[in-house]
Amino acid sequence: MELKNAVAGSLLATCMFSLSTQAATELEVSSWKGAGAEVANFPLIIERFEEKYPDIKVKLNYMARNDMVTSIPARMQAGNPPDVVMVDAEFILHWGGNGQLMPLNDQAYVERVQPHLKRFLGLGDDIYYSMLQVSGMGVYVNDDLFRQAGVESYPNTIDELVGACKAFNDKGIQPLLMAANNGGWTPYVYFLAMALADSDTPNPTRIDDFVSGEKKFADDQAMKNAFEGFRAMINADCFDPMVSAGTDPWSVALTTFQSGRVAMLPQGMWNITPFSNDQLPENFSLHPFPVINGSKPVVMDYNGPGWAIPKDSGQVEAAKKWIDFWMTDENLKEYLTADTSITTLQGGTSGVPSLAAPYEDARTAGQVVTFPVGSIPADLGAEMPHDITSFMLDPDQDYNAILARWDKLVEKELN
Amino acid sequence: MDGITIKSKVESVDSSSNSKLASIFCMRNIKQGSMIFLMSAVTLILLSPVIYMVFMSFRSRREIMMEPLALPTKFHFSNYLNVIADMNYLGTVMNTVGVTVVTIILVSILSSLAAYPLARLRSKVSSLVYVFFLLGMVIPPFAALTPLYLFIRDLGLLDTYAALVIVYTVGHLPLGVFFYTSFMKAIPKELEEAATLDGASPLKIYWYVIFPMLKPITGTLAIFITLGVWNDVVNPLLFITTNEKLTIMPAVLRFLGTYSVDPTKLFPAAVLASLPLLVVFFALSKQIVNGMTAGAVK
Repeated sequence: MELKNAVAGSLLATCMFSLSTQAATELEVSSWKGAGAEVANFPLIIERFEEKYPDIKVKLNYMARNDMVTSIPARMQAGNPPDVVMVDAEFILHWGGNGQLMPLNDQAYVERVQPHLKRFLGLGDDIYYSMLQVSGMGVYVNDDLFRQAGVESYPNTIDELVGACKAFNDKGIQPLLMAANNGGWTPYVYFLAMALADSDTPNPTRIDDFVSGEKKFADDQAMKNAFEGFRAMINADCFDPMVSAGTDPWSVALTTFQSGRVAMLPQGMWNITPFSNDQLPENFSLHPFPVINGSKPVVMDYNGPGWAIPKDSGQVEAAKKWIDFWMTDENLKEYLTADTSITTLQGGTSGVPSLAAPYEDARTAGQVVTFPVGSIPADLGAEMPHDITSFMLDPDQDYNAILARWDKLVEKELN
Repeated sequence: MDGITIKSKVESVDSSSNSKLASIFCMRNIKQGSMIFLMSAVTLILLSPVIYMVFMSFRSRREIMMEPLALPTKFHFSNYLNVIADMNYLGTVMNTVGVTVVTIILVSILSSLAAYPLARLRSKVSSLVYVFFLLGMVIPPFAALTPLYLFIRDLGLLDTYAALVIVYTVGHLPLGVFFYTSFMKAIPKELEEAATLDGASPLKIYWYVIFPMLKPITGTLAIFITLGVWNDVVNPLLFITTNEKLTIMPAVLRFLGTYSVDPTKLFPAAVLASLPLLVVFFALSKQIVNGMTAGAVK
């Protein structure tokens, strides 16, 4: 009798266990953040999510962004994608444009997003993702080297920058590094900051006018001035074009700045955390870009990644819960603090420390342009960094020819 | 007098030949010395990235940032301990070794079986089949990703080691057929004829006569397969979704962020990932060299 009871009990326990395990939903999330070099407080947020939804188990599938380009499309085409994928504007353009992502217009989080960011959440009228962060690019400043060179205030304009460069050079300090290896990222960003800021409060989406064909690059004085700005910086020895062209912005440029070998480094806001962790340089701050078309410096917004649901996701409801969970200030701020970036939520908490106050002040004052990722034609996006780097190496060339070439690429895309 | 002259002549001949010999030896020494110096310099240049990687793996992040090219002043073994825990080192190595070994066995048996008739039969059909096999080597791997994914999904093998073994085996079969066919053509037919006279069937001839002779070329093929499996990132990321089943390279690349690099993790991870391969290559260096030089001299 006891044996029978024991067998019945264990059978019942087994059934209960199997029922409970069957009830658990496994949510597969593919992301290029959350592990390895970019943990970004994911373990804490996942733990909170699983506490709130005990029937959902998160399976984080971490891979580098470039690897997502190859592996996720294959899974989407096979109708077996992850339940949630991390995307950015470029992925939205490709996957959203190909109908691989689920529209999220009816989701509650959409109303919580800052109004000026809503237009970046999808394509046309369709909303495809929940943007987690606005990151940005500015100029890192080694405050000690500034003091050493006697430069008391940060330059707001290219003219002031040229003056500062002279002071640095007189003291034997390299003023700036325009690291351009592997695709010309830094000169591209710096050029766009100068060219898109056509006034002290520029339209953050001015690039759209060029992409739609409404404006011509070749006719735009601000674009021409940006090339002149580059020329002025080179003539004033603000940076060494040859050294800059051979420097990788993601590794060597960072070590060069951190070791105190250069006074200014244009880079992304995401480097605040590693710089602070290393306590190198000992005193640094993040500033906006000096401008050529006005008198107030500008920052460049970089609309960050977020979550999207593939149309063939097997766990749509759990995926929607995941997205909604992230898009609450309580949870999002944990991520933003770790990734030192700006909130996308109305009244949300950003994770930017005080050393980036000059950057934030400029942004709050409307001195901001937007990095055009995913919003310009692919050919143009590939051509511009190379042309700008080429100009950096040969500043005597006629920039009107470059601008005319960009117009042709836009025309080609429109036709 | 004559005796003295002869003696002095002999002595002078001796001394001149000695000085000639000495100068030849001296020349040879200089030649040899400069060759050794040149080869050492080339070796040092070739190995410098590896040496740099090993030194960097023991340094703190702050030290690397301050002096990227300096030698370590203190060995931070904690870098290794952190990485071993973070990347589930033992697990990923065992996964990779398991997948590699099974793939090598399958590719060497299947492709040598396919190559045997192709090497022996002289007909248009066999030539066509051979070309058909070789076509597999020119298909861009990325073009095959989606069909392969569908195939593995339909077999119900997603997120299993079997998926990786199948994909790698299929991917390396054309290379195996190419290697074995060329090698088997050089094996004298007389050996098979002797076995036939002893009453052996074609399969027995293959197994007892041909297959044992394929050792050197199998060693070379095994190197290609090992490197292919070890360095692959795309297939594990596509077919494996459970972290514990990942192979080594995706685990290493986790430490390479999209916009930043943590050298205290990336360098030790790279050293740890290459370590098993180095051990294998040193242990099997003789066989590897034999395989590479097989067929070079007839």
